[in-house]
Amino acid sequence: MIILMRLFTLLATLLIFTISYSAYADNLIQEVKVADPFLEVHTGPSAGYPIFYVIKRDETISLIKKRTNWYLIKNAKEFEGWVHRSQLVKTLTLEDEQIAIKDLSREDYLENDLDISMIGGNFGNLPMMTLSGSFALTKNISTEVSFAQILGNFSSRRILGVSLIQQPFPDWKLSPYFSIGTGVSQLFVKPTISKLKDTTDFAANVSVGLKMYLTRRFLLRTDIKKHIIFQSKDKNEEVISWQVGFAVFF
Amino acid sequence: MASWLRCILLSTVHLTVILSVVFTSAINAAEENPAPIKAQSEQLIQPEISRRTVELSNIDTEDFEATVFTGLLSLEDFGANAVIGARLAYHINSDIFIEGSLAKSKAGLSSYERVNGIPSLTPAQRELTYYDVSIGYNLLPGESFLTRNTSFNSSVYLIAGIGNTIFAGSDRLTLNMGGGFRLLAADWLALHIDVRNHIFKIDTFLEDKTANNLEVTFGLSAFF
Repeated sequence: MIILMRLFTLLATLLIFTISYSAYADNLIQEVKVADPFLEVHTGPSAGYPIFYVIKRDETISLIKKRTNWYLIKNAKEFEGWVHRSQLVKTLTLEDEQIAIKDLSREDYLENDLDISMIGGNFGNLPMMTLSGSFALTKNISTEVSFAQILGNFSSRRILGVSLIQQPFPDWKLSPYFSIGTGVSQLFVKPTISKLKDTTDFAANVSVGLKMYLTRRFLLRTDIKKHIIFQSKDKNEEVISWQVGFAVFF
Repeated sequence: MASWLRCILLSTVHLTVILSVVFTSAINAAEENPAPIKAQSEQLIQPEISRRTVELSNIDTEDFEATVFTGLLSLEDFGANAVIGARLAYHINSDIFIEGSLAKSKAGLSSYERVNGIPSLTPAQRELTYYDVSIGYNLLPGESFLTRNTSFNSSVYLIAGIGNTIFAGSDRLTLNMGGGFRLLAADWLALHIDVRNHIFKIDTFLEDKTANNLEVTFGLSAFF
């Protein structure tokens, strides 16, 4: 516990230093000209925070940083505050050219390489949760690393796997995918059930699923998977799982 | 004599006329297609103005929040014990965020164990680790006034999620729910107070029961 406490203090200190150091890097700040009649400047990055300042059209402002859909801005008089993206849509460059401050869209999704998904459902009749990350190799093919956990009353199982995903129609709104994978399955038996032992076996799986773009960075994802666990016993264990969840792309 | 003199004179006149016609047409042609003048292609003054472009992708995006926290976890039957952990949140919009947590604690002695003097768990089984994924909702964003003139942005949020608790020798499916208060000391730095209930099934005393484990933590977070 003492080691943990020290580690905690160290982590906390490191966190503060690294982030405060990179908090304001000048080359990241962009200057633009306001084209809307006025900008409402909030004290924080949410509509719930009060408006404390208004910036007029044609004023030059600096965009310092962005959090979700809010920009931290500063004007020539050094007033700093948060403005919603919707008020900056018509913003101009200093040469009076229109720039598009757009939200993320389906086009960004189609160009993404990396996504992380969290899905949950049933494995046989036990609750299952999976955390996975996939990386696109081409427009249609991607690789995925996943960690699944099945938690039963008498035992629990962890499956660590890698798989190859083929998405034949990535442009479709409801896009199907197929995958094959392999991994390691660990079964932990609760100590109160003493007759069985913990085991580690190789596993393989095939699955079909659907991905659907929802909004901004979000996808809906559902998956039906057949798992084969190569046991040292005579018979392999075969289980079908289904899961539903969402994915975030970067 | 007069005839050959006339002949010479006439031919001279003809030649002059022909030559003048040829020359004028040549000059006209030259005027119509003037030869390229070198000086025109070279700019004498180079204006020293570089266009200021706006690179929106360069703007620092701070949608992630990393937290370290410590506090008390009251484990049902096993007393209240110190808990220490870390969280990583991704803010989807100004209202909703997803958060993953990982924390460690250690169970104390239960009343049953104290009375009987026989421990029901081994030291390794007393170690508790939990991890979960939750969804949070910023219910009450606003300002908190410390004094008349000093205010900080703050938010009260609700959070619920699912995860695993490794305790008493096995994995336990765990639901967590609760709420918290986030006080932004700076644009990138926040203080947290969280109260959560971790609900899981436990069978240490030979019958399955649902344990409600209340946790109060203080955290320090940074946006990046």
